[in-house]
Amino acid sequence: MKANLLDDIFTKNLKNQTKTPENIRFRKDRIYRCIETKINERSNSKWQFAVAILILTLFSSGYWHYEQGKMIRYQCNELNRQQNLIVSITNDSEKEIASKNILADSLKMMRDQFNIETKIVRLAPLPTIIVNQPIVFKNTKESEHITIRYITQYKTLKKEEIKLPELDLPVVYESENLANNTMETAGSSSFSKKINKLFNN
Amino acid sequence: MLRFFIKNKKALFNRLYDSYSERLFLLVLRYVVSQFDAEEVLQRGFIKAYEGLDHFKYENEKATLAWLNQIMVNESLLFLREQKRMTFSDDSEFNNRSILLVPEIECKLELESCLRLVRNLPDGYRTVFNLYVIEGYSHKEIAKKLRISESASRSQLTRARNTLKQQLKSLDYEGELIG
Repeated sequence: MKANLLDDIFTKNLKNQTKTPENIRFRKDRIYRCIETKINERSNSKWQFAVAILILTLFSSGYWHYEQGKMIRYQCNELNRQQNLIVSITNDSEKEIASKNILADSLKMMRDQFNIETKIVRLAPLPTIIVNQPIVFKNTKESEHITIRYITQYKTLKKEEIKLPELDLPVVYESENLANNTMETAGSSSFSKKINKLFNN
Repeated sequence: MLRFFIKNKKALFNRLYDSYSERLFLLVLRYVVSQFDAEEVLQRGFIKAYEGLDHFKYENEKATLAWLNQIMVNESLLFLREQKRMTFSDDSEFNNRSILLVPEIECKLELESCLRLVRNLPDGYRTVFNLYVIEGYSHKEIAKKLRISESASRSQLTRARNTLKQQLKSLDYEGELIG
């Protein structure tokens, strides 16, 4: 009785065997066909999933664009309608009231149609800068800095509206100037000699 | 380009299948008793291999075969776990190497007989025996793979060896093979 390791016998016989025993049938082609079908199914399902996501993305972005466009078109139409209404009013005070009312109406309609939260805030009156009139800076004693405001509104004055600012400049009279000059020149020696000579002649 | 890539991938897969399918089928048969189950595991394994082909880099035949073997072993274990067939008992008393000594006649065992003997083992014994003896995993690796303790792995192996030895004796191979 020779001692053999059981493990060696099984390792030798079972490891790296390439041929199936006769009693076992290996259906190579059938198994291959099954594998191929499953691979194709998996591949198709991946593509289908990718295409579904792509379609969903395109559809949602398209819908979003459509909604945005709809809102913009509505706003444009609304603006044109308001402008036409305002233009048709001739009285200035009526025009102002109408424009305010129309704006309020428009906001209300927008809120109702698109279900948007809106809030009307009263803005501070904008400063008016007159373009064709000289600008006078008044330097006050309280502050040595000159504050420059942003130009937010332009207004062009008509000729009759233009008022020249009254500048607080020193008044100089020509006669006094002359007198002063005379006094200064009279003080000089050459000038007195000339006067004496004139009187002598 | 994509078509070319897919075609190329498929050609490579076909080559792998032609070269190694039979060998891998035998490997799976050692773990999974039923032939139909073995075919199912083989299909799963080859699908895994197909999916892994994108990252596969051919080095040599040995490395390729080792990679495919690994896939098939993992798929077999997964299949057995799904079927809840494996039962392991934590028993470390069977740890005697003298039990490995078998009579001379067993050298005459052939593939068919060896395969039959291994497939006759219970699932737990067979799995540990295959992993340890044929694939060459350590008890630590087996314990990790099968989520059992190392002592359980050792006891399963010893029990498997005992059972094999009893089977050999009871089958009287001397008479069958020589006589």
